Amino acid sequence: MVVAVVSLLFTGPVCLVLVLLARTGLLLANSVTVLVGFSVMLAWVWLPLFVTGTDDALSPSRFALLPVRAARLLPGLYVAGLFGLGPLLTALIGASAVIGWARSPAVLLAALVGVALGVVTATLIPHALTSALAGVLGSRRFRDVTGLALLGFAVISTVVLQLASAAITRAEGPASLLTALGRTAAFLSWTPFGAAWALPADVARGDLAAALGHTGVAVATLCVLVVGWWLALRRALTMPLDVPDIVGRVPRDGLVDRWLSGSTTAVIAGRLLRYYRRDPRRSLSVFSMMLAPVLVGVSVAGVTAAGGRAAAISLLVVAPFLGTLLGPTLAFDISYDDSALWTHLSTSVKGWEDRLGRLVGFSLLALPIVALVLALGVLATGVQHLLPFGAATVAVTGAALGVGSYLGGIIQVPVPPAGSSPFGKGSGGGPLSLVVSIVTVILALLVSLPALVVAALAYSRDWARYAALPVALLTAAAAIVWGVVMGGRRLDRRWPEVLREVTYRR
Amino acid sequence: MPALRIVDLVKSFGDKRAVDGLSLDVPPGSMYGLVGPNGAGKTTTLSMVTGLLRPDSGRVEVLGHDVWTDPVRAKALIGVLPDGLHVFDRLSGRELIRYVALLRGLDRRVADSRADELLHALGLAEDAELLVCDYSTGMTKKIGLACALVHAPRLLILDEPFEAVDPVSGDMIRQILRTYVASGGTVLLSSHVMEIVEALCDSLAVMAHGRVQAAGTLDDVRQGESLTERFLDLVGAQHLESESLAWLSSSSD
Repeated sequence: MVVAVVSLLFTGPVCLVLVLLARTGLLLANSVTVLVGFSVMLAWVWLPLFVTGTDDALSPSRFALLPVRAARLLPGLYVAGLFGLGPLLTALIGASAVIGWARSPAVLLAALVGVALGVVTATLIPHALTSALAGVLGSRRFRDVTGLALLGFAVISTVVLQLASAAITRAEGPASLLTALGRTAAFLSWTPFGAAWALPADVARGDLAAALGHTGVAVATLCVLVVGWWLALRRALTMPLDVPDIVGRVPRDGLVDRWLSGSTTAVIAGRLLRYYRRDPRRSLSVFSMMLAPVLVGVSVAGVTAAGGRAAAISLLVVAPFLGTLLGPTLAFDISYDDSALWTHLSTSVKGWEDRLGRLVGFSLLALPIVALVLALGVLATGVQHLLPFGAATVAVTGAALGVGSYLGGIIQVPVPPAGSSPFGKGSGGGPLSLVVSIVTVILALLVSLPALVVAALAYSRDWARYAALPVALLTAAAAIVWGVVMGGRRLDRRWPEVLREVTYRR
Repeated sequence: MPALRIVDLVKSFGDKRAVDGLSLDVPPGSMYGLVGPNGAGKTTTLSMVTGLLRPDSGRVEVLGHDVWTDPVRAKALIGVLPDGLHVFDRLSGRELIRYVALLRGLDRRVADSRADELLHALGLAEDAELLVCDYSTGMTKKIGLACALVHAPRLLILDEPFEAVDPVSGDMIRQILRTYVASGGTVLLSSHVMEIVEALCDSLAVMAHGRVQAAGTLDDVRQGESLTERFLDLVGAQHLESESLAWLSSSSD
């Protein structure tokens, strides 16, 4: 539901722009249509990576046991695939483009043909891709790296977008911008993903040769996809077995074994360190935390390049904000263990050891990131902010860790099972996890409020300058001790019930 | 004193009484089988015995220590291999055994050497550095057994230890269990394969509908029949009527 609303919010303006193209010049109209069409096609390349792992009711290997031929299965699978949000939005965009090109009957006809080719091709892409990759996508290890690959893709596209917007703002006037756009569109229109969308402009210009050429490229693309899908499907139906995972070995006697085997708490912390690397659901949260210093770094570099000092607050609040976010992650951690948590029951791990072990393991990874963000912010804005914001970060982070430890012992939020796509349906864990996250953040802010006030006063009052850091450290320590002890007591009283709560029900 | 004493154990899920007043004594030094049809309550019973599931009422004692009032002492005496629960499978086989050993309070050097010995004994030495999630089902059972054994428990509780295990690994597990019993340990294992229990165990209990239907030494329970026949008598066999599924005969079309 949320996804639907958000994607409609994105698609709405695009459709509006396409409809309004009727009132603009040919060059601009063509550029926008081709760029939008091309982007839609690209989106369909990435879409399957987001949805596989959740919706495999129509995965080819499911039909392997039935006596059905690939050619008979193909139309049914295609039509079934049309009932979804993606095809609906694509059709909306296509329809808007047709309306935008209703300049004359001939152009309208060309738009209809071009858009139809484009939409059908776009919706075929995931079928061809998933069938071709069925074996690879099905294997666990691939799904693990998919999430990370996608995140990398997101980062790269953000950087590209920034570069593009920088180039656009540097362009001298709208005229040169339009030329640049037109050149890009002209190039894209001869690629498989852009050809269909250039058809209406060709006809409007009366350029028959270009129209024929673009139609040729678009039809060829369509044919290649259909044949490719058919071949892949035929293979998937006769060789349904999963491709075995690539065997990966881990080094013996690693750092964790050497440094973290002294006590139960240390041993649990050591396992958590390994799990934040090897469990994609956990590595995703650390990975997205790591984006924070990158983004702050980019902003700082930008501000410095522009020759100015950054607006202090916007860069400095990132560190304490990141600190509060540690709370929910820590609170959810026990749920990620799934039924494997029985090991802690049968080895009589004490509640506080479980709480503290997770806290230490997670902190070893998270605290350096928070510290780095704080350092970058202070570097960009001036050293006078180090004490107040350092104290605030310490207080808020400690409070969040304490509250997270406590709530993790009180309530176990359902999370997706291991090996599922981290971007799959319900990866957030549903409404309960949202509520727990919000409660954790609010509680952490409440607990650290006095320390925050003292930290803020450090700008103006002498006594606060001396008190800010001790108060912050005291707040953090008290919150952590309280969270670990109280959360741990709660666990000790109801271990078997907690085990049932975190066991993923299939 | 019995190695394990279960008195009047009860557990209900909603309206269903999964375990319905079960009592059982497992003598020390025995290889004890717990058999029963699917849904008889074997796994529920073993979960309550090992402290993973809270019983509605009843008592469980391991060598005199109550599992639910003195859990730390009782749990230190037992090694557990549950069925249908995950292990920390993003650890390698060696890391997993070490993890359990250290949580059991073993010294680091002892943990290292025992992990090594267990990996060799169970034929997992070559795959010791592989993540457990890449193991086959049989290998996962074996690494689970290694984790159950690592602190040298007095009582081993194994839920379906031979399920999905190939004959070679199965034989290896049987040898380890026999050695363990010969050196004074006690084993309680569940299975629904009568041949395994008949060949391996010296005593057994037959469970159905959450209760013990018969218990004692192998010969006591068998009463001169084969164990399979006796088992079917006890839990109530269902016979296929001669007319049903007649169309399955290939000559019918």
